Amino acid sequence: MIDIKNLDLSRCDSLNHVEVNFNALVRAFPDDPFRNFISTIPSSELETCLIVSYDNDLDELEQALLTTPKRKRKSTSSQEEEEKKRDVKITFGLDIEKEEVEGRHQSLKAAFDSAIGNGVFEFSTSTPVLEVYPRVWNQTA
Amino acid sequence: MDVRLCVIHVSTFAPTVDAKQVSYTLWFNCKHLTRKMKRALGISKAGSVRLPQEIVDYILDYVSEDRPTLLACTHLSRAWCIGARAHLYRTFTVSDSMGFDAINDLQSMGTIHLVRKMAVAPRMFQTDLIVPKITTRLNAFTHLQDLDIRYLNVGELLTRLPRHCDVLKSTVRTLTLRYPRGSTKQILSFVRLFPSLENLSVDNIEQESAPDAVIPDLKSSPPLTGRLTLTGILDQEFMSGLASLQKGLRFSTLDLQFCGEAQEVIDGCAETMRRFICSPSDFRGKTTLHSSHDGRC
Repeated sequence: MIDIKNLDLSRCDSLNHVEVNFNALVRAFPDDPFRNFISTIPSSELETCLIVSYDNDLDELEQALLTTPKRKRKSTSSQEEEEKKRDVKITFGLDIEKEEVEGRHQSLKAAFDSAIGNGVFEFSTSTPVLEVYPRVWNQTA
Repeated sequence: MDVRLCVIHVSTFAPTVDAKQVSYTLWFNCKHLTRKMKRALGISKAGSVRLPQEIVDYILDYVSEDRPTLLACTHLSRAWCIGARAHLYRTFTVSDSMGFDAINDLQSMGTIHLVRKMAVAPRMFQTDLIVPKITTRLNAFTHLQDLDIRYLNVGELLTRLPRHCDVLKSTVRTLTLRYPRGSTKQILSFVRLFPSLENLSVDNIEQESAPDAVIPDLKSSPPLTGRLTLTGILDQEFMSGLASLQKGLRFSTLDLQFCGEAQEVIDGCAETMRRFICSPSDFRGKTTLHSSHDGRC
């Protein structure tokens, strides 16, 4: 399987959109998954990032959102820090069964709001978005 | 303005709406138009409507997945029939060797030019019966753009091609190979038989070694500027072969699902790649093997 941590996207200068699985992301970057993953993509054209989570990942996602990442203090001034911010719109796509949408959505939304408040996504100037993709079993398939 | 209102009203129907309901609603809405408006829109006193073809097409696009409705639309009028037939015959699926006989029916009905996508999905025990017929019948589809083949024995197919065959189908823009059998070289040679190919999808190769004589020496290089989807490819030789398929890959989207090391392919597409997908699912509303997404909240 592709190891996201060892993936070298540094030469992809026109990269505009990336989609990754949350499970793979958190395995590759356990400490600060969202920030560290975005930092591996230097493309200045990067606009959107979709992080996909499935039923089994939701508890871990909630935990990751509620945990405030410990970041090393840098000697650079706050102005320089501001310039390093990326304008990447991060979307969390939840692929869950239709019956579970109501129950899971509320708790994840609370964790998501908490993460925004705790500065988990402060590396980006765009506000992240939480989306739900209700899955229904297809009898004909 | 009123015609737009009518169309908006029609488009809010459930997809199970049939052509009679559509025409009735149009008639019902037109009752409220003034005589001058009716004359301008080509509506007769009896209430029958002659809509501009683009509006008919708009309605048909909305019901394009609903086969019974499309069939009903073919009986409505000539204008509706032309548009509905284009949707009805867009995809042609072959699941056994008898399916190829249906090509004759399409030709006799004069509808073969409407086929844009051909899906060859044979049952396991019939795979070897399909291969010989593909090579001979593919050219009957004059406007084919999308070819989706399951269990193709690429090595056997290449042996059946004419000696100096450089082009298998020049209209094909999208090629999907699911569980193809053959060596890396054979599969990549097969890809190059489609000179206008933009999108390529390869799903789980069943590797087979092949004698070099079976691999044609092709000079054509398809554009390959669209989407590359690789699923379950763990073979490093295939990745390397793909990366060196031609001087620099030009895919704009790279979609890797359950694949092994793919850095060579990523580097090959580095200059042109705009979308990189590495999540094992499809969020564009398509039906997958086990489930479907019914929209976003």
